[in-house]
Amino acid sequence: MIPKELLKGSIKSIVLKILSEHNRMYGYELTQKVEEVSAGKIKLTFGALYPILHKLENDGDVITESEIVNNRNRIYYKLTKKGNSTAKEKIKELKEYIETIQQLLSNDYGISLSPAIG
Amino acid sequence: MIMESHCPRLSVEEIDFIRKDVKKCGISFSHLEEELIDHLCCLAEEYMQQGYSFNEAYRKVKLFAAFDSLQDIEIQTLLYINKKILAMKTTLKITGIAGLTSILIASVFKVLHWPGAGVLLTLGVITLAFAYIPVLFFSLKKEKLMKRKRNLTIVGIITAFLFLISILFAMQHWPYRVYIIILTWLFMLTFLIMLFNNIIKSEENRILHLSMILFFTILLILDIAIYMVNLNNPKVSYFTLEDNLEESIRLFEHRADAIYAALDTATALETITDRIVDEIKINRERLFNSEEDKIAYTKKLFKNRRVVYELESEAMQLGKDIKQYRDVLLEMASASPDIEAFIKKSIRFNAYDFNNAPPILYNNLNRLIRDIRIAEVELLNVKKKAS
Repeated sequence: MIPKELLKGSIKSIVLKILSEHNRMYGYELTQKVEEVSAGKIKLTFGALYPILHKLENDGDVITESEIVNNRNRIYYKLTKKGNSTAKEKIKELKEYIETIQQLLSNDYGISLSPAIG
Repeated sequence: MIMESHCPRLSVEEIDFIRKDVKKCGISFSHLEEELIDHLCCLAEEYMQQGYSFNEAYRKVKLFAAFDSLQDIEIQTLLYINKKILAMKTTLKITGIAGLTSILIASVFKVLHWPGAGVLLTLGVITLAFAYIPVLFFSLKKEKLMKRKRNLTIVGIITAFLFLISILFAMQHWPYRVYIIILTWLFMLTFLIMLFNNIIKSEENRILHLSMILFFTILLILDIAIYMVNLNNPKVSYFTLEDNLEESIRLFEHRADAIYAALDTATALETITDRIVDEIKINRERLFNSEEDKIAYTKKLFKNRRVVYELESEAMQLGKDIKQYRDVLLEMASASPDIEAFIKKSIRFNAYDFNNAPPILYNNLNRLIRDIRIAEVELLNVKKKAS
C-alpha cells in the first residue's frame, strides 16, 4: 500500500491519465481500475476521489453524463478537449517529478555515470 | 459492461435501503449524493459476488465507508472548488436558525401579549428574507440545481420571499398588506402548478411529491377561504351565541334576592355585587347595543385586532374592578374551599379578553355575570346557615 501522504499530490494526474484512456468512467469504476493497474497498491477512497472529480468538472476538464443503471443513477465522467490537454500537461508534470525523485534517491544522486573506483 | 453481467445486482429495496442511509448524511452538493449511493451499491455488489448476503456485505461496506465521513466529503469537495460556497453554507445555517428562532419566540410573545413581539418578528423575517433567501439563491446557482430546474427554483425563491414578507405585513398590520397577500397567493399557485408539472415528468417518489402538493394546495385554499369569509362576513360566528346564559343569570338573581329577603341584616355583598354586575353590563351594552355595533366591532377586530387599545381605559378599569371584587369574595369564602376554588377559577377577566370576536366576548361577559351570581348565592347560603 502506498501511503496517503505520498499519493496526495498525484491523484489528480492519475485520474486524468485513466480518463484519457477511456471514453467515460464512473467513480467506482475508476477506483477499481486504479487498484487493478497498481496491483492493489493504490486504493482511492471516495474521500479522495470525489472532491477531485467535482473540482475537475467545475474547472471544465470533465463533463458528466447521468444514466440509470441497475435502478440507480450513475454519473459518468468524460474528458473535454480542455481536459485532454490538462491531462497531457499533468502527466508530463508527474513524470518529471518522478524522474527528479528517482535521481534524488539514486546512489550519489545519479551524478557519477560510472561506478566509483577505489 | 462484461464485469457487470456476472455481478449480482441489488434489488430496488436494497438500493432504497442504502439510499435512505446516505440521505441521512444530508449531502446536497450537485450530483455527489447520487454518486455516493451508486458507489456504495457497487461496493456491496462486489462483496456479494464473494458470497456474502446483502446484510453482511452492506455491513462490510459501512466499515469501509465510515458514514460519518460522507458529510466530510461534501465539505472537502466544496473547499476544493470554492471556499465561498462553504462560507455560504455556514451563513445559510446561521441565518436560518436565527431567523426561525426569533419568529418562533415572537409568536410565543404575541400569544402571551408580552412586549417586543413585533420587533422580534420583524427582525426574524428580515433575516430570513434579506439574508437567508439571497444566499440560498446564490448557493443553488452554484449547486447547479438552477440549471436543471431554473424556472421552478426562481419562482420558488420569490414565493418564499413574498410569503415571509406577507407574514410580516399581516401580523404587523402594515398598510398594503392585502395586496402583498394576494400577490403571494398568486405566486404560490404558480409555484404549485409548476411543481406539479415537474413531478408529472420525473420518475422519483411521485406519490410522496403529489401528496405534498395536494396538502399545500388544500392549505392555500383554506387560507384564502378563511381570509375571505372573515373579511366579508363578520356575522359568520354569531351561531356561537348562548341564549340560555340570560336565563341562568335571571334564575340566580331571583335566588339571591330571596335569600337577601330572608336575612335580617343588610350585607355589603349586595351592593358590591350589584355594582360590579352593572359595570359589566354597561360595557356589554356599549359595545353591542345593536347588530350594527357588533358588525362594526367585528370589522374593526378583523382589520386591526387592536380593539383593546381603543377602549384601553375602560377595559383596564373593568379588569381592575373585577380583580378587586374577586379578592373581596375570596376573603369571604376563605372558610369554604369549594366556593373558593370556584371563585378562583371562574371570576376573572383580563383587558385582553376584549380582543375576542363579539359573540365570544358577549358570551364571556354573560358567563362572568352568571358566575358572579352563583358565587353570590353560594356565599349567602353559607352566611344563612351560620346565622
